[in-house]
Amino acid sequence: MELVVDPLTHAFFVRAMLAAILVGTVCAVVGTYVVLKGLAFIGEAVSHAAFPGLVAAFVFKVPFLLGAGVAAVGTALGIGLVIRRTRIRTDTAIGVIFVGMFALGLFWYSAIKGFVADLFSFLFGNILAISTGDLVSLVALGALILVVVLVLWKELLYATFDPLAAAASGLPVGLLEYLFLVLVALTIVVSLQAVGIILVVAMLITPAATAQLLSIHFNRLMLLAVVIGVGGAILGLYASYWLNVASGATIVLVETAVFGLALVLGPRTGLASRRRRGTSAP
Amino acid sequence: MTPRSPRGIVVRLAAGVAALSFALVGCVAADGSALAPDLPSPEPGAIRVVATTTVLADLVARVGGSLIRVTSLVPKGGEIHTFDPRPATLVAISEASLVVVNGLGLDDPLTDLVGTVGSKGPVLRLGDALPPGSILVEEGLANPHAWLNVAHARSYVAAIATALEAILPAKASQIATQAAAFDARLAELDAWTRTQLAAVPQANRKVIVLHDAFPYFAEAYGLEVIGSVISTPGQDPSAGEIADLLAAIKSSGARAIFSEAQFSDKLAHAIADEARMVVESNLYDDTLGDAPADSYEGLIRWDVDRIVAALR
Repeated sequence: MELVVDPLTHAFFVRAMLAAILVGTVCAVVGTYVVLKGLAFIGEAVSHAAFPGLVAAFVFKVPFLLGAGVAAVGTALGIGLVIRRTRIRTDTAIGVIFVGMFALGLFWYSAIKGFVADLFSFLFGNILAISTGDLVSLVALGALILVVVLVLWKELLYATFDPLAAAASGLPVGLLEYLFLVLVALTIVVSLQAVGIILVVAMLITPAATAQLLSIHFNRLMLLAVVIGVGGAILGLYASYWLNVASGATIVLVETAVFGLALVLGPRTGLASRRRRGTSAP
Repeated sequence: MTPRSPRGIVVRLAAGVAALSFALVGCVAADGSALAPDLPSPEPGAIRVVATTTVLADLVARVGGSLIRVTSLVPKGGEIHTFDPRPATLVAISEASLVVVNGLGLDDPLTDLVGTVGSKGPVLRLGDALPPGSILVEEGLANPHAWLNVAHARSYVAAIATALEAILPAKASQIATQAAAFDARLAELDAWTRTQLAAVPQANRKVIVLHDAFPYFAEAYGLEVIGSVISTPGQDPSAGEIADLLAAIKSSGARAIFSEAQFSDKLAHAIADEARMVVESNLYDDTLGDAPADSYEGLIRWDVDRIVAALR
């Protein structure tokens, strides 16, 4: 009991816990769409593309969230534009744009004299170092994302799984597609401070991917993703406290471990259920 | 497909993950204190003090003795610019009755972190304790490595003593005695350093540094730093900057290139090979090393021995 309560006597741990719950929820909700649409690489791209935005925020002395947000949303829309307007394939467009943006960030970073705001804190983030002010803006942004998803629930679902029929029925599929990219970008921005550029894509897709192993019904899948995302983030946070190791990496490892367990024990892919099927076969 | 309730799956998953975490708890060892073994161990009721680097932690520990329990935020051998704080570090900050930082741009991200996490006691910025006019500024940026001039380290010690006396007024005389004893040793160290450096011939006193950590040392003990290879840790020089540096080395006749133990010495060796220079890549600046460089005094003696050997 002490193991669970003791960390909560520290304000920084409570803030980290709230951030973990928020990030776990938002990532799982948006990540469910990302995984079902097969767009995991977009998450990777947008997180790296946020880097020049972080450097810009430092140079122009604006909030980091704003810099990262502008860069991430701009990149997501840019990728969408290239995909829709040219014959370049999706993965190629993403690869070209995100590495270009990341290089821009490194270039700019290296050009600033006496820049000691550390590169590593951008790359790896630290959920334990979230201030109350950060938390307030994260909650506001996270709530905005969840509200948009709830309001456009049917439209997003329809456009995601049957874009042709959705277009035929008069839905602005193109617009929804761009909106979806913006949602992914903002989700990444919300999660950046918790786990950093390199690990953030795992927060987005791992819980949803795990849920996909366990259920095929959309609503149940998303609910499972939220449970796994939030549970994994909380457990990972505690584990990092008990073990005194980096929090972001621990959270991602816990979620990856849950994915591994689902792979082995899950009802459809699981080795256990396969064995059972084998023995029950005539 | 075998039908199974999602709830059953979640329960089994949770059990599996819990088992895995407990297995992990067993295999990660606790990290020990990085400070020198000859320091007195904290007495019961000792207050917690946090310093950003092991060097500052050692200075604080010498002044506070057994009255305080000191933790360095950046571990021994750690790089202050690429440092990712762990949970126990943040616990130490939140429990600290005093937080000691260098300032002058050395540990700003860490000082911000202290502000975010919140500490019990005040933050002491040692750079502010330097005598007026002694801070070295280049291109508008202060150089933070003042403690490598032992005289400045004595200013740090005086500021630490004042801060600790304010927090522990009942123990003020004990703190003053400990600070005075340590200050006397530092005065001796300063004189010893001067004697050692006096043995270096005047013509051999031009040096190149990997990272600009030694201007205070050079100013105090009569070396001339011709240039540095990297301006800020983590930023590699451009081809043009390396060419400029090689030209400066050639025209000045600089003899040795100094680098700290925590940095890769690849660049230093590449430049030294081209310019036929001696490389001494095992110096310490903001982190302590293993014995005998595991205290501030040990660090200065270690660096001075190596610098003198390279230049003689």
